[in-house]
This record gives sequence, structure tokens and C-alpha cells, in this order.
Amino acid sequence: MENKEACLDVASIVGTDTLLGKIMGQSHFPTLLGAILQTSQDTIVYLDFGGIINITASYIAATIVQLLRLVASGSLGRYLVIGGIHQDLQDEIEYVLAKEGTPILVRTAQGISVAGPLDKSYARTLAAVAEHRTATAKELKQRSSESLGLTGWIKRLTTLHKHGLLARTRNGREYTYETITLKDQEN
Amino acid sequence: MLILLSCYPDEENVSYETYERFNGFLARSWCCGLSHVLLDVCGFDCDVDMLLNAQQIVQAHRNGASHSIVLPQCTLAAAIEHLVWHTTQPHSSPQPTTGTAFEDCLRQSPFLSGSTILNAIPAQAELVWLRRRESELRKAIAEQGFTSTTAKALSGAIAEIINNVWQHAQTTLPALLAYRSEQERFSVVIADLGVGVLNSLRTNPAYASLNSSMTALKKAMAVGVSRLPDSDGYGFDTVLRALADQWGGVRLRTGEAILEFHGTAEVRKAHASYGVALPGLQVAFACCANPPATPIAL
Repeated sequence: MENKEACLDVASIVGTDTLLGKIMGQSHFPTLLGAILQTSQDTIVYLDFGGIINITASYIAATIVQLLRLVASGSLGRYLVIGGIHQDLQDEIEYVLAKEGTPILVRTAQGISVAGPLDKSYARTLAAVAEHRTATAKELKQRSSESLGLTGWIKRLTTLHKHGLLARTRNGREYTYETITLKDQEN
Repeated sequence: MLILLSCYPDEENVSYETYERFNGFLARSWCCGLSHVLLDVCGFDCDVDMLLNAQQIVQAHRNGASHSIVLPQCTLAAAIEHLVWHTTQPHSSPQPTTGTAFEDCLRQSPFLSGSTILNAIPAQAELVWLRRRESELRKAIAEQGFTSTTAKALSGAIAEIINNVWQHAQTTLPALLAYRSEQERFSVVIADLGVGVLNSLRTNPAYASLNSSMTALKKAMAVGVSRLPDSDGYGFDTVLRALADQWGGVRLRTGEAILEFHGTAEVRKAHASYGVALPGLQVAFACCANPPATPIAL
């Protein structure tokens, strides 16, 4: 399976390089959401923060966290990856995501990783899928030494998909899950 | 209009009336639309109640075309808290309206360096204004030897507090942003004349039972506690994190409650006290780029 990709330059979309406070976040949110929804369903949307100089916690809570809630509720229908973020701003984003209990995919020079809270068992599952790029729950159960039933694997994969950390396609009665990558970072 | 307020060592024999005239002038200047005043106060620990003591007051005098006015030595927080107190007194008329920007005037001023700058915060959210202030603050902080990361964190924290004013002060009266940057040291105060933390929080049914400014202030320090249900406010939390390792402190004052935080993220000491009742909320913090020789005063 292959998902479409779209790169959105956050600074260009919202028209500023400093993202400050809840009021600004609430004001920018419809613009950001509108730009994301212009892409087709199931697109991997890369939000490029490269042009951003400063961002505050309340702005992150009013924009990124709200987008992630739409992802989790299934109403966004796109996968989000953020990147181009200066290290000190990434620390701020990770702090807010930890407080809000919401993980997100972050693109760095080393590849795509998860920022924010992710339980160890879910992190292991994500890594297990990444090993072969795609996997079904049945395949993970066969490969793993963990004493976890099929339902347990299905639950973990479903949760990871719900948080937008894995893409999936239906194959008959089961889903095939796939790690989310951007084309220019593929091997 | 630009006013330079100079600070000299204490002088005795100054009448309370003179002092009051000066403060009335300063308060009216703010109320009537003077949004920028250069306040050249020396750092010295002195609280608002000391400022109210007439014996500590010095003279105001006129010098050529400019006003040169003597103030008792005090910290920035004390000066602004006193200004807030005075603005609310019956004789301080006319009552505050909205402020007007004098940014161009300030930029051309030869007194900018080493001085304290007062900005009137618009009563309604103005995002372009906020971006401009954040950019100026970030630059001013970085110029004093703070790292780029710290400058961003501090200017971002100030932006968060200004957002809090717009969201929660519930007043059309202008608020104040005052800051002073000097070698490796930065102080700032954000003061509003709104309903205060207690009245604000009590409009949220979850906090309707709060009965003192101190309990309300302590409650409001947590992330997500505000008058709005399902709030995700990070204002105070952002300030505390920005200052965590900058050898500084935070002072919050609302109603009669005063709450101060000193120390690092690992060992943070809180100190609660009470003072003259003030309207709204005053948030002051000061920090250093390197360990100071003496503890920083708020």
C-alpha cells in the first residue's frame, strides 16, 4: 500500500514565524485544519515547522494537540508527521504532549520517531512492525516471543493506528499495518 | 510623549503631597494613553508598603523641558505594584482608558539602554502587537548574555502571561508590560487591573467554593486550572519552567495574596505572604544569565 504525501509549511500557512499563546493558536487552528483537509483522505501530512522561531505551550495545546485529538477520534482521516523543529522547540512540544498524553510522529535527521508518551509495550509493537515495514496481528504474534494473545496484538495495533502512528489497509478479514514513512527518508 | 523617571539615592524632607502629585501624574499619564514611560529605577529590595511610607518619598522637580522625577529605590515589581495601587485610588482620576502605543518614540529614544520600558498591553487581544513585543523581548534578553534557548523560553513565557490577561482579566482597562534588561540580568512585570485570580476562578463551578486569593492563586499555578472548563492553560507553568535554571524568582500578587518562587526546577522554594489588597494580577519575574553574586530581588 502507498499513502500520498503532502508537505505543509506551517509558517507560510499561518503567516508568522512566532506561535504564541492560546488565542493565537485558536485563531490559527481553522487555517491549519483547512490546509490539512485540502489533502486527500489517508494522506501523510508533513507539517514543516522549519520556519518557526518560537512556539509556546498553550499554542501547541490549541493546535497540535487539537489536531491529534481529531486523529484519535478518526475524524481527520490523515496521518500527521511534524518536523523541521529546532531542538528547544521540540522539547516544548514533547513537554505538552506528555502533559496531554498524546504521542505524535516527528521527522528528524535520523528518521521518523515518536514524540510524546508511548507505553513500552506499544513502542515495542511499533518497532516490531517497523522491522518488516508491514505486519498483521497474526504475523506479530508468530514472530514475537511475548506471551500475548492475538486479541492483545490486535488491540495494540488498533491503538497505534488510532493515534496515527501506523497506517493500515484491510485485507479480507484482517488489517495490514504499515509504518509511516516519508518518501525522501525511505531506504 | 516621553518621560524619563530618574532614580536617585533617598532624599529626606520631601513632602507627601509632592510625592502624591508625582504619582498622580504618573498614574494619569498611564490612564490617559501614555503607553511608554522610561522608568529608571535602581534595583533595591523595597515592597509596596514601604513605598507608601511618606518618609521614604523624595522630591519631584522640573528640569528644563523634560520631567526628571525622583523615586525611592525599589525593585521593578514594587514600582509597578505601587503604580497599580495608586491607579485604583479615588484621587487617581481620570480612570484608566485604553493605552496608545508610542513605540516609534521609544525606539528613537537615547534613554532606552539600561532603562525600564513600560508598554500598555491592549485591552483586547492584538496578535500583531504580541508578536512584535515577543520579538523585541527575545532580542533584548539575548543581548544580555542569555542563550537563544533561554531568550525564547522567557519571551514565550511573557507572551503566555499576556494571553492570560486577555483571556481572564475580564476588564477593558489597559494592563502593563514593564521590563528591564541589564548586564546578564532581566526583570519583567505584567500587571493587570482585572477581576483577580479569585473572582476569575470562582466563575468556574469547579472552583466556586474558593474563598481566598491565596488558595485561588495556589490553585491557578497548576496546568489546566482556569475559569474556563476543559482549560489547557500553561501560563504560570511556562514561566516557572523558563526560569527553572536561571537563578531567578517569580512573584505573583492578586488580592492580598503574594506568592514567590525561588530556586531551580529540582529545589523550588515557595513563599506565601500577604500585603495591601491590589486589583487584578501582577506577575513579576527576574533572572540572571549566570549565578549572581547576591540573590536576585523581586
